[in-house]
Amino acid sequence: MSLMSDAPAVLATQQPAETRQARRGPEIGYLILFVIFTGYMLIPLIGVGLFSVATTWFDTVLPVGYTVDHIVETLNDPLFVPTVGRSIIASLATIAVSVVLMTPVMFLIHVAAPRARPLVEFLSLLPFALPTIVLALSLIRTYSAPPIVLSGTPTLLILAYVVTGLPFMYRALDNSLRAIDTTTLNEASVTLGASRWTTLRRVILPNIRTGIAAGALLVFSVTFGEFTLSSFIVGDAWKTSGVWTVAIWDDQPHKTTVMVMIGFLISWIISLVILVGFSKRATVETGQR
Amino acid sequence: MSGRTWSRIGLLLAFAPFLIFCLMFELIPTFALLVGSIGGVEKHSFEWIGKVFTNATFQRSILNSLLLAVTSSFLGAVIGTAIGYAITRTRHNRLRGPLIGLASLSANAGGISLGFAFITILGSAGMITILLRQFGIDLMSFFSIYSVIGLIVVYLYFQVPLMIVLMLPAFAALKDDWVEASASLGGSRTDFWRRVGIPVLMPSIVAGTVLLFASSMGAYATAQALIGSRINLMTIQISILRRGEILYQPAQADAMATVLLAIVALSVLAYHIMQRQAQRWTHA
Repeated sequence: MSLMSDAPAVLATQQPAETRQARRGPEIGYLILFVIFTGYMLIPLIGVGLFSVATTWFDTVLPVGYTVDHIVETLNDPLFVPTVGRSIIASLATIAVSVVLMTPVMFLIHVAAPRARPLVEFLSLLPFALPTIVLALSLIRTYSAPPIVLSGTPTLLILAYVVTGLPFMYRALDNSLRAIDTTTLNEASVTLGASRWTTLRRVILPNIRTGIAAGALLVFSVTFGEFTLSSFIVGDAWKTSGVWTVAIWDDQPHKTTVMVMIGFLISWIISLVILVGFSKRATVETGQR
Repeated sequence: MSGRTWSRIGLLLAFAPFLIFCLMFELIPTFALLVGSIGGVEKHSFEWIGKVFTNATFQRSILNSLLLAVTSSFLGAVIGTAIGYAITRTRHNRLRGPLIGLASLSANAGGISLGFAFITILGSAGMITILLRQFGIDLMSFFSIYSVIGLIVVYLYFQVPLMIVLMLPAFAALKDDWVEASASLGGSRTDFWRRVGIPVLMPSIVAGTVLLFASSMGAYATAQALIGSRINLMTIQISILRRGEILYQPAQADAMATVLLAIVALSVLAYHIMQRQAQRWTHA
């Protein structure tokens, strides 16, 4: 990135007059592109945000009046706490299972079994090739008949979420294990007489905390408010916030938009935390590669 | 390695939970879906798979999905590449961080929220629809958010930022030394792009486009929130066949899902092959 920002300066010393003129043209083009891009990314958010606080709004460009009634009504809806609660429970359980499942494996492919990496990588990135609706169907088909019947249960939903979260956990853990030079730390710890378990718990884990946190936050933002898996696997039997948000659209669209705004806010906050809070770590990671 | 090496059995035990999980929730279910699509092992038949390609409604859904995915991934790739280049090249260094932030934030957007957000701006009572009406332009006469073209506009919301995020490393790999080297060997700017720039960027562009294609083929929640079952797409068709208030045909749903899986999995495979090519430069 920094190489790139020096580019105009380098070019300017090469061919001063011609380049400087040629550069002014594109710069205006770039700014126009930025304005269009930013507008395109923000206008839908503004639209849904305004709708969630609008009194009447159907034949004017901006709402006739503003109110917090929809927000209050949504928060007081008897289904708000249960559905959002279920989504939070499912997301947190997903994070717990993902961390316990992935951390030892990622540690091992860094220190003891590098040959297993291609297999672990393949299995972790496989969900990218699996459209969510296909995953939903395949899980229902497998777990709605004996020997194992899980269809319709939150357990299956959480396990499905773990599958969709695998690529995110893999990337986050792999990056942070790379960044701390796990092999050296591990050897140092073992040379000093620590057991493998002690090494993982006392040396490695504290050092990859931010990586785990980043992975966990990503998993939270892809699972909270999720619709496809919850509507197929649990549906109305264990209504999540995503399923509820869609269900109320026809009768109470304002509540839907309040829920959509809450979803956007959560993912924005999480992304900002990752970008700002972990950016130092992230530059170290890419630098070490 | 370390003083105490891991025994084979120790390693196997440590890997076991992860491997068993992947077996149970990735591999076996996928296999079960494939078996389901031929109606089971014993009385297997390719009737349902065949029907995906011969039944007019199903054919239409494949065509619509392909049209949507090809168009949105092509447009997303072109626009995303242009903006990615602009972000890399701009002299306004302070804009770079926020723009990259906005792109990486929106690259994961999607789902139901996106569908509803676009209805509030481009639906029949949407903000932009009404704004245009005040200028005498009747948007609804030539554009509907509830159509394939409408879906393209919505899908670009995550396609464009995704392409930007995918292209940034490729543009960063385009070393300034190469511009100089090309110039000092007597090459013009056109020569540079034709002989160096494009060949270096091409694997990344193709890889990105293929990934956008896959993400749009498999998208369901956004389309469902936006259009319900008004447009005949593969994912929507799968959901109709599976939920089936009207027609409950689980084997047919599995067959359709298998075809979708094949298309998406092949695209992701192509992405990885192209990405490996691209990494010759980005990891250099």
